Amino acid sequence: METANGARIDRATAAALAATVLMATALGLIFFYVPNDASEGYSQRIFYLHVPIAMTTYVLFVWGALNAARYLWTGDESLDLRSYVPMHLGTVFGTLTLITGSLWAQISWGTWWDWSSTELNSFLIIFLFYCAYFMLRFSVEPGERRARYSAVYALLGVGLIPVSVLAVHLGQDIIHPITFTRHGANMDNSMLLTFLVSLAAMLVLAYSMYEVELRGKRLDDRIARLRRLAREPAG
Amino acid sequence: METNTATRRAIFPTVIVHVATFGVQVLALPVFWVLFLQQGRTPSYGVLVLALLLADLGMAALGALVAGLASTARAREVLAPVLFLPFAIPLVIVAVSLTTGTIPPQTAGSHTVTRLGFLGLYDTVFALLGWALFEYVVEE
Repeated sequence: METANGARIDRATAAALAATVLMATALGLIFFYVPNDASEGYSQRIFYLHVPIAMTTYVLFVWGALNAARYLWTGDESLDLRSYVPMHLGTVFGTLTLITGSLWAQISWGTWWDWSSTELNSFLIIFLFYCAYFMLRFSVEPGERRARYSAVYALLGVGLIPVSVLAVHLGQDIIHPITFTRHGANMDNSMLLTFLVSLAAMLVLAYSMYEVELRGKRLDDRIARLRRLAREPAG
Repeated sequence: METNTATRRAIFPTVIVHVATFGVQVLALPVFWVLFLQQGRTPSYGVLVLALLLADLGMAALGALVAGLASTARAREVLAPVLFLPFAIPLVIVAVSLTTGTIPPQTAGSHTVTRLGFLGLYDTVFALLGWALFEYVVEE
């Protein structure tokens, strides 16, 4: 128990430290190292924050769904929190994606939101899904049933990601080829380096937040259980 | 007895969703035809019917699962549409662009097959997910 606890504290601290170092490096690279974009100028630098945040959102989402599947298969109660925490963080990162994306759109397209953009619409659908997950989770009584229902809904989302991306592309009058690497082909080496460091920073940040939140939620559970135990002899 | 209740709870939302979507279409389609589709503008019925059937199937498969999830929650009447909305958007986007393409001034073109294929894919994905996950929703 002690050693397991100690190991967990170490992991969270290590992840937080790594996130700090990586994030500082990434910010340094973004603001002082990487050259200005040829067409969009200085403001294009938000790309190095926006795209890694968006990618982290998807990673968190898939991670939450994987743990949800493992929960349904094994019935291990700890996996319920391991599924909930990535979903929660995914919502946080998803909100950040929408904010940074809107800022970028306002600067480069002159509008906060563009309904004809496929990336924006499919992301919005997935973001709505995240929000609905919370509506479900917090309107069912805590317990085994809530864990089961949350897991089922989280797994449905795995079907939703490809479906929403496809639908938004198919709904257009002209079907564009799906381009996964809009910037990939003409990215300079220094730009690629900055992008990758920033992506690593976001992923490690998400991981350290996951460890910290998981510990907090477990403490919550333990306190709730102790309270119940303390109340029992009295009542 | 146990399975009996589970089955009844499983069938109930499916029937509701089926009846609701079918009922709305039975009412809406003739009205739509009278208002918009006279003067010899005949839609391609085959594609229209196929599109509606596939879209209904997707809605019923997903609606049943989502209604099951919402059934024990507080404020379930509010929750069910909220849970359903993100899944309905892709289906509605494609079904709408598909059905508008069947009406003469529009040119359906090669997109029709792709879009029908998407509806088929959507139904398959969520029918399979529903089939695999439903036991966790109704299990007591």
